[in-house]
Amino acid sequence: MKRRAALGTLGGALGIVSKAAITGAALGGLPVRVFAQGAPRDKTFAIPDLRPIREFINNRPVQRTRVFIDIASQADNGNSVPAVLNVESPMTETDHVKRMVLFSDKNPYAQMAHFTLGPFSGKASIATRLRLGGSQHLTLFAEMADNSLYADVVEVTVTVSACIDAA
Amino acid sequence: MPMLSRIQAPATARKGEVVTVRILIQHPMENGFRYAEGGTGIRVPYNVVNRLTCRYLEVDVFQATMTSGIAANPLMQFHLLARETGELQFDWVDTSGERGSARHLLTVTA
Amino acid sequence: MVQRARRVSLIAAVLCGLVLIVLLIDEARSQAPPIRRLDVVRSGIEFAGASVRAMQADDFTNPGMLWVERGEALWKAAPASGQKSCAGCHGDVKTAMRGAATRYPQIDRATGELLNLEGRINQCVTQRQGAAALAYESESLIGLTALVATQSRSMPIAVSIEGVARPHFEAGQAFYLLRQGHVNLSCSQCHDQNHGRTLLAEPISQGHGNAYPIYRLEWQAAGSLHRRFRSCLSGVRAELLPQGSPTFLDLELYLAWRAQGLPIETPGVRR
Repeated sequence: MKRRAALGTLGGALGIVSKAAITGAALGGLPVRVFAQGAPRDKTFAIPDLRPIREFINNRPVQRTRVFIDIASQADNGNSVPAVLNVESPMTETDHVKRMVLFSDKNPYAQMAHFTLGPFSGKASIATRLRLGGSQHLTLFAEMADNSLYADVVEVTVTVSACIDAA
Repeated sequence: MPMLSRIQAPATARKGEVVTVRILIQHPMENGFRYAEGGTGIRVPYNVVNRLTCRYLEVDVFQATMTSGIAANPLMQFHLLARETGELQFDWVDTSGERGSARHLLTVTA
Repeated sequence: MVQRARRVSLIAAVLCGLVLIVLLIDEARSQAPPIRRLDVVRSGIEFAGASVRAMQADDFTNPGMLWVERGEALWKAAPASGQKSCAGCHGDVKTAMRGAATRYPQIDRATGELLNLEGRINQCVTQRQGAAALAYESESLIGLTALVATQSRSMPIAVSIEGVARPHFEAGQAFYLLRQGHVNLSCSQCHDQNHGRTLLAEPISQGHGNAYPIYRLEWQAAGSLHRRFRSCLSGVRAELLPQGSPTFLDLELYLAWRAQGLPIETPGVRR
């Protein structure tokens, strides 16, 4: 238990160090800040216990490494929150990400998006803008070619508009 | 009204280069909770772009299945390995059945 | 008898004097320069968060650009009536409309009425293209307004409030300073006196219109400045006036004067 936790922390530390490299390279020279600004993460969150997530995991072991959700810790507006979904992978024929699945523990639909990748992708990094129905935890799973599962969980605070907009 | 979209990808790339591709589609991504104009109390039905595919050289190099968890006017950025000169064919469909497509020619040099 | 006559003439003289003083003050006030309540004028983008700034800075990811594209298509499309398209009369939008948006709202020389960009576009659409007026918040009107306004991107606002425009300016200023709604707040109290402070978690901007039409995250769509006025009025629980109403046009003129020198940013992205 302790060794796994230590390995997890080491993996987490490596993840944070390589995050800069991944996001910088992943955006093909575009400024990293164009999409997201991940705040330093000092807390590790448990994978939310939701039925769609349990069904997806299907009793497989999940490693909390190699996956990184780059997103602001506080969103300007829940309607459009930029995020970069990164997975550390060489993307070769034998070792690549097959799919990436993003879950929400607050939105009306738990599965926010499902992406299919392969060795033809070159890099496992997807950027998009999310709609968050409130402060919540996002869980990103990466399923590898050998069916192994890796995941990352991040907490995002979503503020409400100060004034009612009835226009 | 056809769905407007714009693609941002390099026109040329070297063989083996990892290329960044971006697509932006004009679509409200209705989550089914918004009330229609006019104070009728009727909600605008759920309607999102739920499947987006990018096909390059006979291979689906990117497939995305989305829900209302993706923001309105969806933006997607992904990567692909440049192999040979070919067209990136984007096709998408929303839950109401409306389809959209766009093309981008990628010229690959040796 | 003489005493009473003297008293009456004294009272009459005082009254005349008072009337004269009132007239002089009134004349002085109407010629007095309008009061600038802001020391430094700053665009709303400076009060926005990093992700909003990034979204506006990148022309590809800026969703407002999709409306500009719609406008580009409409600019070249001939109306059903057989009249010319916008391009047919004006030519290339980049050259024809460069700088145009910096001078709006303005008095229409032909009719003497105050027109904003939307009003001018609809004047062309109805009178010269023989088509029905475009509705506020429609894809077509937002598209064309954004297309025209973006040709003046980075150019400073320079409206005139002289002559026929002056009463409109005064009316707009009066509305801006008026306390309204259940919350009983005026525009000035938030946007002149409290800009930079936060309302819950949102920083209050100075309330300029230099980036309109904008893509507003709250609307998940692009919208007009008049729609934004309505948003604010609903925020203070005041009656919402319709887009295109004379009050909003006057307010738009006042805001443009107040934002003089600020560069146009259309299509802006705001929270």
